[in-house]
Amino acid sequence: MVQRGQLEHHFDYILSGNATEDLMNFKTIFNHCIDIKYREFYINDVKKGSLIFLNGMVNTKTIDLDIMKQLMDCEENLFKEPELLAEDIKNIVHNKLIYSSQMCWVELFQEIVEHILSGNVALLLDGLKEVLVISAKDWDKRAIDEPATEAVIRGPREGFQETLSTNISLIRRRLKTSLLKMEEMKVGKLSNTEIVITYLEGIVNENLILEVKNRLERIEIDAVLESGYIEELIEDHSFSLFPQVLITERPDRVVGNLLEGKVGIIIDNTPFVIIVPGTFFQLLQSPEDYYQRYFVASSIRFLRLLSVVLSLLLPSLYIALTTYHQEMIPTMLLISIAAARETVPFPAFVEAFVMEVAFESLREAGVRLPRPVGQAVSIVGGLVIGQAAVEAGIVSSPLVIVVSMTGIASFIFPSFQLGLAFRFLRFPMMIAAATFGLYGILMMVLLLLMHMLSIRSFGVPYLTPLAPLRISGLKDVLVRVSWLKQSSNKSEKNKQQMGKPFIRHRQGKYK
Amino acid sequence: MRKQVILLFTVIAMFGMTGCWSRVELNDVAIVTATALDLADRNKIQVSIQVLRINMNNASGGNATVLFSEEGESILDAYRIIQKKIPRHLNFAHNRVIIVGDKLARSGMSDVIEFFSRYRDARGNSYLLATKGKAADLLKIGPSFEKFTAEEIREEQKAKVIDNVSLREFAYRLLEGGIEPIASQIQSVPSSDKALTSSNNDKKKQNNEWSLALVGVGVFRKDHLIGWMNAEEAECLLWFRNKVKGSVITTMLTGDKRESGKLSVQIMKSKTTIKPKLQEEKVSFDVRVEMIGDLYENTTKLSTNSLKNLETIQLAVEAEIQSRIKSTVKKLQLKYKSDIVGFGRMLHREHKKEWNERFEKRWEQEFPHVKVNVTAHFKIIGTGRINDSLTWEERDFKK
Repeated sequence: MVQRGQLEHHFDYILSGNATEDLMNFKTIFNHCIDIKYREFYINDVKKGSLIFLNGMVNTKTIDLDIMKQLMDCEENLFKEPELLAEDIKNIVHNKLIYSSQMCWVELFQEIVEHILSGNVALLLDGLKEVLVISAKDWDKRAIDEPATEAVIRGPREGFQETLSTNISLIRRRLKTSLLKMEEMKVGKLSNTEIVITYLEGIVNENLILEVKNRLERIEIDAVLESGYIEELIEDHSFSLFPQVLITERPDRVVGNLLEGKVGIIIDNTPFVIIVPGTFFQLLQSPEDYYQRYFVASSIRFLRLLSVVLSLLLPSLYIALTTYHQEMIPTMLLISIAAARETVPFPAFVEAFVMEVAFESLREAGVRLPRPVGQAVSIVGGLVIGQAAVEAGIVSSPLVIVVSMTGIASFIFPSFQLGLAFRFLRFPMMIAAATFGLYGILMMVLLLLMHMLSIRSFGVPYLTPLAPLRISGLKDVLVRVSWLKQSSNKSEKNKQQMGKPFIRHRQGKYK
Repeated sequence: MRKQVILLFTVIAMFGMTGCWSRVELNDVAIVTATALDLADRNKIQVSIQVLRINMNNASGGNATVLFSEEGESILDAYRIIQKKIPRHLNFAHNRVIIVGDKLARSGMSDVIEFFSRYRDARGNSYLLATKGKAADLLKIGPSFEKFTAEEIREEQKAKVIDNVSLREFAYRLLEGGIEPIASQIQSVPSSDKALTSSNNDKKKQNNEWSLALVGVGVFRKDHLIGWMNAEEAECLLWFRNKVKGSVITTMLTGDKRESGKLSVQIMKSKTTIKPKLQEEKVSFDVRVEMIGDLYENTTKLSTNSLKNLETIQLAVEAEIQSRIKSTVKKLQLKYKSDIVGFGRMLHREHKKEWNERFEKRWEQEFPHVKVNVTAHFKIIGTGRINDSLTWEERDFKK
């Protein structure tokens, strides 16, 4: 009986073997659940039985043709023998009647309820203290299409979707080896969300798997609606701004990381797969780096590093240079900036701050709004902020260039999560620049580096392999060296790079 | 948690308590582009600064700069008086040109160097120039190409047509034994015939009828200006420093009818080595100049197709180089007795012991008497688009 205040499934019922009685128990449990359907029947007027299933999550055709029809059409004297034992009945049903590849006998009430809730069909038969659970899962799914957040020019266009089994198959299709392991867990007291931990045996560090399992097991939460819940609950430093796990919608990216000895966590009902441990430079990589020619890919990686610096520092450099260090701007440029700033009534900091806030608002508005309205936002933003504000003399045009360059730089981040961190950090940077000039920027950068150096993701330092430095690891960080030049067994190499992860046994609960 | 809250408050308080001590908005800055220094009466110093007047539409004409001039006991004193007249904070960091009038330069540059090496806003790489007459007058001349005069002077200096020094280099030369400072000489010159005929007043000067030109080099002994070298000699000084950027040598050829005429070559590459030789008590220097260049003008009837003729040309140019260097060195030794080339420095580098023992103290007396041997090597690497001059008949050429 589900008691108030106690949100866990806990049942005292035991299967009695009497189909009518058991059915009554189920009906008590699923009271007021209109999506649970019951189908009672008699097999050849002798055997009473019933089917219990969730409407909308099962394929009714399977139930009708492969279960019901078989039970109804069976030979008349199949159950007529009076001396039938429970074993015999099970045997008959199992081997002669039901057309299904996935079924099993379950004794525990609790388990049966879980099976029913995840879309299986339960078959109750008189005289049996077990229930046959038959898989007939089928519900409406989104088609596999290109991931919206990680589009590539060259590379597979498949993205994960919300169904766990489909996602698993997408990974398995890329690694046809028995070494690819998938282990199932359940998280969420009410949501009972299925989670699959996947890794490549022999490549992954055993301790890492243990730690991942350990952290997942410790999760105490009512429901998991998105991978973000899990990420926050298992990461090492939830107080940090930086994402410490890799989130991806692309199966090829998951597989690439599994090959490097990482662990993937696939969560039901979300297209986002978590990859741990996540490092800073990994978050700056795109799967396309590995598909394009390596010279191009390497130069694009440098471009990304540049954009990291720009998106973090450009507005604050503008503030610091124009208000503290005018001597550092080339004379002619200074004259142009000074001329543009001549009519601006605000200090450079206020000017930059307002523009950055305006830009961030525009971006946020653009994300949330439906597409037709989004266009209106961009027109308003481009016109009002870009042009009218400059013409009215409220902001200077060099600042508009600075803000838009910062904006473009922040769009280059392949990981949206990392981009968010830098978007936020820009503001403290600007405050530091406005109060201490370049010195303030330097201090903030130092603080930031100290933080980044101090955090670890599942035992792996965040800035690996740059700090601690592993020369061989650099082949795939700042540049992408040709496959010919990389170690033939890339995964083995990477395992070495990660070293022996220092596993932090975190105390306390994940809440 | 409590610790974190305290930390947060400390950080916030830190930002509030800075007082923004050196923060200046760009709207409140007046950019100084050039400084002119003159000696005024009663030993006062006259500082003139050219300040940019920034407005949105510079293109609409009008002068982009304003000249402020004030006398004071010291440079900073005058500078402060100017600051009182300007509503904006003077920013000296973009000053790239310092012009010193000859009165001040002759009376000694040490005060100027002292101030500008101490003043932390001043750039070490700003150019130091000297002029005959008042330096302040030069800053009144309007620019013809750039936005303001200082930029024009800077560009002219960068072209390296004649030898120049930065503030830092001037100080180094002053401090180092065996080399004396110089400063490029800048004068106002009429840019057209009209300027000469019209009355010479300030208004005309701004109307682009006068322009600034580098005409030579001021020669210093210690920190005193003692005289001037003309442009040709100043170019020679560049050869000594291996800093040639497209200098042109023109020489006359005399000989039979077909051989006489003018030859101009442009130097592409130049390398000068000065080798001091110490024989017993006597010091002598071997100057070896190696240049390669293109033939640019040839009014002789020498056919450039023949190697023999090219050799003749090369020899003529070599002779010209030699004589130029010799006359420059002679002028320095006899007229000014100032070693601005740095022969003493070379001697110091090569023969440290002897320099310290014998020459350091009395190099000034020694320098006019040292022997300087010059050898020049010139090689033509190109003769331009044509071989023989087009205007002559084939038979006229000397093959």
